[in-house]
Amino acid sequence: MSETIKNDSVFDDESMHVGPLYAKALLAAVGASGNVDAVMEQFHSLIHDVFDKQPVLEMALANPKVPSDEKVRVLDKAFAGKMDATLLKFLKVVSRRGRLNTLRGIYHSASSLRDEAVGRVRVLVTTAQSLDATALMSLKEKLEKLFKKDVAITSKVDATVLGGLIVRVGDMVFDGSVDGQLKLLKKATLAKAEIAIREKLSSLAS
Amino acid sequence: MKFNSDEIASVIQAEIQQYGSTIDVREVGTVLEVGDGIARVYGLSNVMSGEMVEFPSGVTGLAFNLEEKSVGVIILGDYLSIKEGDEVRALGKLLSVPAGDAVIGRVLDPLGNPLDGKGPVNATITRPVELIATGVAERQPVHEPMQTGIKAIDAMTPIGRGQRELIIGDRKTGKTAVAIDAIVNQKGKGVKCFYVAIGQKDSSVALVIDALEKNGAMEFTTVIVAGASAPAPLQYVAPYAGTAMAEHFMYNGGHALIVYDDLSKQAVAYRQLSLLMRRPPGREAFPGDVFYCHSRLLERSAKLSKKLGGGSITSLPIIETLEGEVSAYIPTNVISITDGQIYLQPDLFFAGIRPAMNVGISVSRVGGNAQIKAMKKVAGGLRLDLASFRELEAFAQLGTELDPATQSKLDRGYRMVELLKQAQYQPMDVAEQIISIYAGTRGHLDEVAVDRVRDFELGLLSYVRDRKPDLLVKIREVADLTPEIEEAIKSAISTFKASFR
Repeated sequence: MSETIKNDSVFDDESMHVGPLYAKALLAAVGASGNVDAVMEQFHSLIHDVFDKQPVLEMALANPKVPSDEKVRVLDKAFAGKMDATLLKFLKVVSRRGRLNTLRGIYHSASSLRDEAVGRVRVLVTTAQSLDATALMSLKEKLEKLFKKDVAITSKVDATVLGGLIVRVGDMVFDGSVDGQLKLLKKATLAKAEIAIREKLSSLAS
Repeated sequence: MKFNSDEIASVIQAEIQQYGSTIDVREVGTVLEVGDGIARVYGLSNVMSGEMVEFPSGVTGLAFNLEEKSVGVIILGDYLSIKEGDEVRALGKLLSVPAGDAVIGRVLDPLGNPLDGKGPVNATITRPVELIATGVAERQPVHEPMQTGIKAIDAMTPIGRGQRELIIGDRKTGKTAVAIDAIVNQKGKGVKCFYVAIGQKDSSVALVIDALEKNGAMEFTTVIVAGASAPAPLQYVAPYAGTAMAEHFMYNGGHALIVYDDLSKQAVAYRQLSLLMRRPPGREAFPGDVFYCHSRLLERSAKLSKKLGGGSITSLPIIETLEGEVSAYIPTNVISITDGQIYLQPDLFFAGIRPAMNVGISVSRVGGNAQIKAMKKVAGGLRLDLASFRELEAFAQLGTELDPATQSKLDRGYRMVELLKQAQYQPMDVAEQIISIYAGTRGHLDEVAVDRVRDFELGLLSYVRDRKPDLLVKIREVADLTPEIEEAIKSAISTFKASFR
């Protein structure tokens, strides 16, 4: 039975509560000793390059039946030397506390806390075709001017937007896509046509 | 009727040409879990309590619970079409319903969608469902009568325009019948009526609509239905939606009568929502703010000041009790909110006393202000007399010898009880009520046999209608019991009595 959580939208009360606590501790520990961004990148790679491709490893680590010593041994074997020492130590602490199942939640909280600390906003840009580097750069500059903050762009390609782009910052969506425009136009036209038909019922009907 | 498609096309074309390209800015969230009429949404960080949200399927919801990590949304519509991961959009506005003349004569759901198959509601006016009630300065005391057409109520627990009178009783005691009679009696009086059916069988609602139609009351009535099969959020919202529609008339100087049938079911729907939202349960598992749920609803019934046009909303909330238990949570709450109650009892109902009103514990806190002077004079003291009659009656059953004074009091009581019986869907005009009650309280029925009292009343009224129509007109116009009118009533009664056999 697979218990791994793939979708960010799954409501996981435990990781929502535990995540920020451990994330804060991790950032504080790393901040005292070394390069936070490098550690965050390693953490990102752990989640997306290792766990996403090796779900078995994630399941084994999250499994409460596997003893903590065993998990620590696996972590040591897999990451010792390759991973930042503080991060590895952190993973071991999390393992000893039996919280490895909330690792994704911890990562999410840590990255949003880090963004907040350095004044960075994450922006999800959805376009019909993939943007080239120059387009991304100019978009980034424009957004940075708009938000007056450092902008980190994540781009996504979705053919259904047809054209234009959809920019999502946090919970706000700025929809400038052709698809969105067409939908709005349809709504507005239908509403106006309905009113017009009602008002001029006698003249429109023959 | 045929539509000219070219002209419609030109309307659409003009609209497209005028359409300016704008960037659609929206706040969104993601559905985490959905079920039982509620959804938990992640995101929507700036949403406000009571704000409308929209799901991709077009279903709307209301932000109900704002929590640290998520937003609890009550879904007003089909929640089966919503999936986990759906994008939820905050609309930045409050729930509103169509109002105005377009809703009159219609059967609607709590969102204002038609249920009667008579086509769309062509309303140009909408009103927010939740609204803060008017304050003290915008009101005036209740002083105009709101005739229900039921003798027992108009004489003893009169209802005024702007009053809230609770109808309370066990199941099958005629609670709805009282409310329907009150609606039917508003015919020709310019009062718009709203019947809000909450959590009832659709078959009983159909019966009510049929009764209203047969009695010609549907022309000025709107029925708002959230039946037993409707999701709890709709049942919860229904009374507020009905009040919003009624408020349109009140704020434009008109008068409205609204019946909530019944609020105990609404409280149960609200309890269901609150428990699903994990709000802590209190007494009888109702949430702590169930009182507020009813008080903010009933506070919206008001008599506006002259400056605001003097409009009014009269409300008749209905509460169903279990085995006559009025000290349960919801009944005590609503009793304390309303300006009086009409208490209906099953034993009276089965004894053939219909409406089965218990005179002793039914009250109207507005009292005589809601009666015309003539009625006040005729019916004053009737309530106390009947209450003391009930006591005597119990005593008389012991079979003891009674002195003549007590015996005559008893006889008068039996006749009054008989006189106050009234058939369903036959509301009476004030003038006729005054003549009937005058005959009873002034002892003109004492020589009539108890089982012939109703025949006597019917005969007397048809005699007055046929032979002395000007007397009825005069009572209505003068609205007072002048010696002259009293003399006329007396002579009418004695002439009729001479011919009554």
